[in-house]
Amino acid sequence: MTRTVAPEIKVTPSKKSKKVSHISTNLFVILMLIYPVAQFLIMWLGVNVNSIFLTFKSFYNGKLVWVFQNPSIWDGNSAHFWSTLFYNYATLFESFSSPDTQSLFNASLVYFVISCLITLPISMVFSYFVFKKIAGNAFFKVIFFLPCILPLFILTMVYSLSLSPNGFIAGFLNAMGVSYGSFFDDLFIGSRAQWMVWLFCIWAGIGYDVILLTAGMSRIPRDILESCKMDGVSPMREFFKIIIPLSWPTITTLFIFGMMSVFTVTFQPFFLTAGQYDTMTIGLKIYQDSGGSALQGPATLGLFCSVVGAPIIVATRWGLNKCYQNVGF
Amino acid sequence: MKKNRMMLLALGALTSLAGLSACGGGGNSAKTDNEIWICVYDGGYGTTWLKDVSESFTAKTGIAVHYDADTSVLDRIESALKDGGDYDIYMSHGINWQSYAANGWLADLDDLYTSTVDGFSGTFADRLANGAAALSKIAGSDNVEHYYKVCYTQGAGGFVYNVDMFKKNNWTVPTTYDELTTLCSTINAAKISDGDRGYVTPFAWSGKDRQYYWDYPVFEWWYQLAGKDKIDTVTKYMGPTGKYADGYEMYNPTSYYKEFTQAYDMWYKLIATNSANSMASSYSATLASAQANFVNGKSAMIPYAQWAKYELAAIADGGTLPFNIAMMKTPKATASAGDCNYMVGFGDSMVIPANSKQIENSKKFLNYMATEEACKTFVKDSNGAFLAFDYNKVDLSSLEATDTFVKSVHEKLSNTNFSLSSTNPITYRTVNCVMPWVGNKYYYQQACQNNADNTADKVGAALYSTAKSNWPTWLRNSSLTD
Repeated sequence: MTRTVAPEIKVTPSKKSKKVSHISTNLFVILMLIYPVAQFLIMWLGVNVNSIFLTFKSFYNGKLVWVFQNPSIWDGNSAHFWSTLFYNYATLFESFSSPDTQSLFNASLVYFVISCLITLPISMVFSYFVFKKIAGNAFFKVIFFLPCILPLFILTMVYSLSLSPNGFIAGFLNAMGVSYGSFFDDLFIGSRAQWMVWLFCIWAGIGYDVILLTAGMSRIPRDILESCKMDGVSPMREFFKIIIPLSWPTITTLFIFGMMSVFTVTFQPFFLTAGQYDTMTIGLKIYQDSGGSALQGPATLGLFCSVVGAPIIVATRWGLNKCYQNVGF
Repeated sequence: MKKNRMMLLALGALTSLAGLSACGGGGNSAKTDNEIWICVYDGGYGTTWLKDVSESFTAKTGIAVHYDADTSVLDRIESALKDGGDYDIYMSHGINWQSYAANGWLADLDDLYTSTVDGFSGTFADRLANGAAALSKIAGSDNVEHYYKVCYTQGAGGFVYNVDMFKKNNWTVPTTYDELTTLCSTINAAKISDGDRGYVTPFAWSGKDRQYYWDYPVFEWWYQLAGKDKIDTVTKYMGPTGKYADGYEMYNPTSYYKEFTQAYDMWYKLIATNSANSMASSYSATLASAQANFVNGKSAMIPYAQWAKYELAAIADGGTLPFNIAMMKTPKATASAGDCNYMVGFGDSMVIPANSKQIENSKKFLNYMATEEACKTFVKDSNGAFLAFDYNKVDLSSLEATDTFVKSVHEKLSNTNFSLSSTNPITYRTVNCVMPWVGNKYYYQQACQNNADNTADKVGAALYSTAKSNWPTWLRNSSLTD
């Protein structure tokens, strides 16, 4: 075998081309970053800082001014400094004694149960079905994925129209000669309205969860599953002992999203019941109140929820991450 | 290297495009000195009137008018007023004009109100419907009261009926509540086929989308039972001692709000506990379904407002209703009561942004809207809606000769008109809270579903209790102290 040994040729770029390349790289980086940074600064930082400022403002002469600029609140007495500074927070705490506010928080907390304790477990099971390609999985895929590609407005409309007295379900029952009385008339009114909103959230939420979970499960190495099969592991055992631990990061993320739904469920009750019949949530309340001029109210409620919710969510995430060791594959 | 350059160029182009797209799509940047841009809420009046009025305005003044009809105007009006938008005039319901005026975002319209209007001897203020000027004034950023808006429409609401069906069956238009209940019994007893295995019912209505249309007759009954003075007292939302602190007392069903619950009770007995008076499933029906039932002759009446003909004709075959309709004067709560009209949509506004470069031309347009020609065009093109100007000096005889609906709305507007708009800041600083139905919560739909839990007594108690428990928070949010 002939080997050739030759001196290494070092190509040294000229100073000029080095400089041009340097500028191009920087320009490229700047152009790549300018949009997301601007987006972050304006749409996140700016909005949030403004919201925090709003919590220290109140009305005077029809305008929102700092609480200390409002003579009807601040009398110049230093003993009242803190009560003036946190005027809006005191107002919020005062509203906690109102049955309406209590109902608002209760209605919102229910979404923790719905998202984390109902939707997520169901999604995990269905994702496993889809992952294992059990008969009919293609049909389920369509059923679950459909809600994810339709805008919420369309989805709520389809849902409420399907379940209306003139909807296809009532029509089908009519054709079958089934008598249902005023069942479909009453679905979105009174105490049933809450159940219908919850049911919608479960139906629409499963699709989203299933998409992420199946993506997470599809990353599990086939070797592991084949090994399980050879060892005669039952599907139930495989699900609990292999699939769940290996999909745990995805499950954790979805659980956190579920916890956040306490604050983020907004337009589902808006489109289905307009927030009536005890379906008003924190998110919807903030949205609706922001339509008025007393913006300090929704801003304070929002900040309060963030301050209370953030540590709980972070602690939960920390706790969930402790459940299973993170496995890289 | 070439690839990198191409990529840089593409990125640069994308960034520029993103920047440009953020500027919005209006025509402000390309505006000339002789054109105005109008943004109107895309509601039940259509835009034909705006086209016709704009054309005649342009022909007269040489000022070009561009307009857009938009249902999302309220979502962006605040930022447009604050930071500069595309339009010189906004027309919509729900404009938070008091707050915008206080912040200095609206143009002062004082000189518009003192200007003269072509064809009339008085000022623009004299041309306004009764009470409209008082509702358009507030202290601005200079702490001095100015006019900052012009009321957009004056409305009439109540029972719209099928004139031809009434004539054919010799039904008389009821003038009292008792006559109305008798008429409902007559319609039900007549068992007239609706052409679809059922019988014609007195009312079609939509509980799902428009339950608040029942407010129109209910508010008029309230006014008739309580009287003007008591309504004025209630809508000030000050307590019995004239202070803010116990303003919730205005909702006390045993005193100030007694007649409101009585009026609700009249509706309750007419509709909620008498399902035969409504099309089946009305309380859960959509607006489209209620409209279709009325247009197809399955019901004799439908609660609606001045935009009824425009919207009902739109869903009829060929865009024309197959029968004549009219709005009856709401049957009086008692035989001795006087006729009145609740001004539906009287709070709707037309405003000019302070940052508009066309303030003077925009004022000219608003002034032109007060002319006889524009007022008439609006009624004709909107199929029976009226601008918030005095129509006593507007000749509508040619329209009324052929249009029963226009005639009936005009007649209804000639009654004692009242609105429930309040000047108490608590009503507009805490949106959807302090209003006849506290918290914007209506009971019509649920009363039909569950009679027992929604009686007048229970509803009255619920309104009072909600107002009382939330009042301190609403006051603090509005910075109102006594």
